[in-house]
Amino acid sequence: MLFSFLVTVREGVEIALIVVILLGYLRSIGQRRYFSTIWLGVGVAAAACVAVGAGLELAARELSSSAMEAFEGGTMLLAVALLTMMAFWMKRQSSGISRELREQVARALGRGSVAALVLLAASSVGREGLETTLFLFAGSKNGEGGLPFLLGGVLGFAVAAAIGWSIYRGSSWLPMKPFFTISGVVVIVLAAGLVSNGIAHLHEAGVLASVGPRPWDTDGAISLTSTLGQFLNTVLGYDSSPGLVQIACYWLYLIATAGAFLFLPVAKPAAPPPAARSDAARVA
Amino acid sequence: MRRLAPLIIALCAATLLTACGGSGGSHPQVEIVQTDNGCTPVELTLAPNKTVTLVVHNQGQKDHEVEGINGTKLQELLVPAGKTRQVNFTPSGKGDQIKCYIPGGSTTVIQIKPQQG
Repeated sequence: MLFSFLVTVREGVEIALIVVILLGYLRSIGQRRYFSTIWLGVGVAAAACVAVGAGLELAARELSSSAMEAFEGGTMLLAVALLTMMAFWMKRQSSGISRELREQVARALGRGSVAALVLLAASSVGREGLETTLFLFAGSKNGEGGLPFLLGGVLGFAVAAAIGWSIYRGSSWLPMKPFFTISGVVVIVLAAGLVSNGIAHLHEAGVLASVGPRPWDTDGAISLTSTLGQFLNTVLGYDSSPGLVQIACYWLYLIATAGAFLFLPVAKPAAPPPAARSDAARVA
Repeated sequence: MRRLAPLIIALCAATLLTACGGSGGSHPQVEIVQTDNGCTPVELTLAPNKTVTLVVHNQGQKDHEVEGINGTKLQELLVPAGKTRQVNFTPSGKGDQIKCYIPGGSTTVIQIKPQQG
């Protein structure tokens, strides 16, 4: 529940921000009639994400148990890679994303293309949505799953929608910069858990013959089959007797990624080409 | 930071809701022994709908896995080499099967027979 809640709050707020930027810009230039076009794009993106999630789930069910383990392990590591790239991309783009989206809306309106506007909303939201889908699919394959996992996801999206609404109304209480920094670190911690779990799944599939010696065993204190064990496994990648490969990859990923996310200066995105600036100016 | 308080409170509530609860009370125990040559016993007679705790001893040199197959509801369990793990299991009485295997290696299927009366 906590895993899906944290993921959907963070990713949901990113999605909400994109929608708010698009709607806010249309409102500011008196083009509210295109609101439905934006929502259509959001709907297309949501449908595509649900289809991808259902496709992943169906594909996993069709596989033999060892192939399924390999598929799940591979998906977890893919989710980690995608999520890490997106966390850094979002950090780099945070200062320029609003301007970029407004310029793209202006260009679409300048061409009088409703389809371009739908595509813009669908691709912008879909990118975040697909990342969320992959992350949730990977997370659901760990100890915790079922109804609590679904409930956490719904609750997280509800919180994100409320935050998005308050931003749109100009009454947001959420300090954006600390929110994205803290939630970025939380997401990296969740991803580190997926690194450990992904390796465990690949070992269970027989892809990795061994995960090395297991230096400790805490199963007597927190069994992996207990509710608490499953919860910790899903959220933090807890394993009662992890192999050295899991331990090393977990800490290497966590320290390197969180360190780079928090302390490395990010290059600002490049300035837009002159044509895009003039398009935006003409419509505005 | 104080403005993040509602979100942090929601987070703590979700954590408590999720983490509360245990692995259930004590149930009759059924021993399963794994070696690198297979798994014993290969047949268990258990009362349908009565939960038991499977105590799985891995006496081999390799990690072993236990899981329900063909619709059998059993939480997947990795038992590292030389370790013992426990998992609760409630037989359905409809031909349950448990697969014990070495990842990428040999497999033994334990047939669960329903206990009469």
